[in-house]
Amino acid sequence: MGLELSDNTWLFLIASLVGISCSQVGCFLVLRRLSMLGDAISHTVLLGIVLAFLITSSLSPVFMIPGAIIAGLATAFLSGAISRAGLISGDAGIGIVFTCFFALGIILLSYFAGDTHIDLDCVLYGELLFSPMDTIEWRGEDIGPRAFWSLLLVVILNSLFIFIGFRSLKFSAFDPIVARTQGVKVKLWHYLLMAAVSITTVVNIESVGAILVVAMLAVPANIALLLSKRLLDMLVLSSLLGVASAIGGITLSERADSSPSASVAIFAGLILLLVIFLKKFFSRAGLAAD
Amino acid sequence: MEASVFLQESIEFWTFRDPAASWVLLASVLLGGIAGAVGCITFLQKRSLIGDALAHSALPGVTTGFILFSSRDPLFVYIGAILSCLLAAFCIVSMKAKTKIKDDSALAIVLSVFFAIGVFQLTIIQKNPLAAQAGIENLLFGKAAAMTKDDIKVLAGVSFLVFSFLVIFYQKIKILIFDSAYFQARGLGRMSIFGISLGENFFQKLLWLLIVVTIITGLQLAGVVLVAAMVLTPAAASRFWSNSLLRMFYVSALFGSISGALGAYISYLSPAMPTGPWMVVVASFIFFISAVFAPRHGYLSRILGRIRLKTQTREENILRTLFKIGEEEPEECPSIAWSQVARIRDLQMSRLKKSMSELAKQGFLFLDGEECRLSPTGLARAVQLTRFHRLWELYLTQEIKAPADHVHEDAEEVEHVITSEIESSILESLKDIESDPHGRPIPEKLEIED
Repeated sequence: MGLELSDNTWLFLIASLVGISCSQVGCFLVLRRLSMLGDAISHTVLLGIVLAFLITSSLSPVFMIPGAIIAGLATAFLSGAISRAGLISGDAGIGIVFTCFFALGIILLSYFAGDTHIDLDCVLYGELLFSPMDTIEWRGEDIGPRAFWSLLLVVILNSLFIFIGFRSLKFSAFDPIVARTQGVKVKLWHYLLMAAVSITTVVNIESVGAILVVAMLAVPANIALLLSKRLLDMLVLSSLLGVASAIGGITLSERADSSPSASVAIFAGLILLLVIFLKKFFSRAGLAAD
Repeated sequence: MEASVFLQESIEFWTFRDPAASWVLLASVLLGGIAGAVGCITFLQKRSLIGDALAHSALPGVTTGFILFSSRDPLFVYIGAILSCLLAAFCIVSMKAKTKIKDDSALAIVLSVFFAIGVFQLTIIQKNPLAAQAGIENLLFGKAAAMTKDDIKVLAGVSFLVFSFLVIFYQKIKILIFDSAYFQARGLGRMSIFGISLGENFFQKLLWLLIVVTIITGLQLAGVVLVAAMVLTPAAASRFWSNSLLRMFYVSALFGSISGALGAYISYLSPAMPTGPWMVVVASFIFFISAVFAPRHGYLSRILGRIRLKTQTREENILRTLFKIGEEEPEECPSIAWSQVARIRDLQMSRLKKSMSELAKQGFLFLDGEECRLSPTGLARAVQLTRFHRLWELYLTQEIKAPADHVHEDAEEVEHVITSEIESSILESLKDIESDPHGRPIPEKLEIED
């Protein structure tokens, strides 16, 4: 059934899937004030892949991705434990853990893997521009880029996760204390959410690179936060904004002949700027309710 | 490494015989020190990740400078980076002040979009995305081991500026951190030079400039992640050792310097080891030790405190039970069977035994086989506890208008933590202190005779 699409079309599709999958978990991160977790995980994956390499002596994604996901989970849990212990507020725990993990990753890399060349760019930090070229086969036929199918899988898993846990996730995002009195297992859902965040972040980084992922986790979700009042609206709007940034950004990168991942992130930032100014303008003109 | 070689190299390093290593040591200590001190401010303002965000935000300043002036002159790079960080700080502050977007989101947005702008420009400069990433890697990892004398001069100058700023404006910084509303209301941010006013929030702007200059200086020497760690981890560790800002500054700067010195030492011993990451690991280790073992605020100490409070509560409850049983009998301190206490307080015999012998050791009880009796000091303590308990019950019913049958549980908790200051302020607000809400007398304090 060979899928015959141009590289450019694949680029749009992949970037849109990045926007959607990041928005799905990004909304919850924004509401729980954990936006910087994406940035943190994008650094700690280094420790995960280095450890995975030292244990298995293989550079195959089969080991690298689970290693990175475990490192991401460890970041989320450890930083949560630090902030629960008191005196240290949420953000600080994240910062302490990820910088330490990243430093350990570099040290291990320079100590053990000094002569075996691990090129970070090739191993785990992907680049959107090249993602359409890395294709996979199914029953002997080329079915398109690996990044497309793995991101599609992430989007489907995330959708299922949100569909099943919508009420619990919503409750714990807005008011964990009330949620607990209503019988929601807040801690369990928090950990499940952290797992979803780790998986989403790692697969995205592997496909398109870290810069774009950090931006797509934070920017569309915050624009949606400014424009909506219900969680469902926020999720849908944020995904749409992710797709819009993908289309706008890739067009921009073609015009400027520059990095598509950076362009998509910049385009999302421009939409945010526009929305903030329009909101200020309309509220000054008395047209908006808030 | 052999022990003798290790010893010889250690002596060489710490007696500054190797000039190159001494420069690296000096730079790491200075950088750790200023980052640690400045980090206290951002940590207490709950902007812990600002180092991370601003360090990423420097990139577009550097690339824009390059596009505009086609120069790799360090001064251009420095100024470009500072300007772009200031713009980033402005975006973060105004996003928080003017929109619904929270602090953490503002950081993530500014970090990623600014960094993306930098990468965008880099790919245009180099017309090659891979070469662009190689450029970013230098920024990410830093070059602590390859420091030049000029770098040290700049660092020394910046350290002098930072420390003098902190000394001169210590009071202002303190007020801004702990009561920013008061700071605003008093207009403490207003400053002027030679009678020319510099604007309403000039001090805050100056403080941002200080933070940015510290971060950029560190960034050039040590890379993004290291800077993020050095303005955060030592400050967070110092929080466990002090409740005062001044002491936090000292401790944090000290922790930062120690991390710097040990990082430089480790990479001297084993040249394959990078200085910067070892600084971070040492700082994280100091944080871990502080968080677990620090007296008073550390995790262990707080757990011990909780256990101590529990034991104390149990012992005091026994004293009070003995007093309450004695209250209904004519004899002042009758002998009472242990089993009766155990029944009333619902205690296991083994626990009761332990608490009883502890109380006897402290002189509160006389033990006699399976019976026990309050000593005069024990009686005085029990009277005081009962007084606190009943005063609190009375306070809740009179002042908070709580129903009389709801106040006992609360008083059970509070009696163990009331101090004589709280007692006197309760007494001031109560009108009638004859008896508690259940009609029992409130005992007068007993003076202990020796």
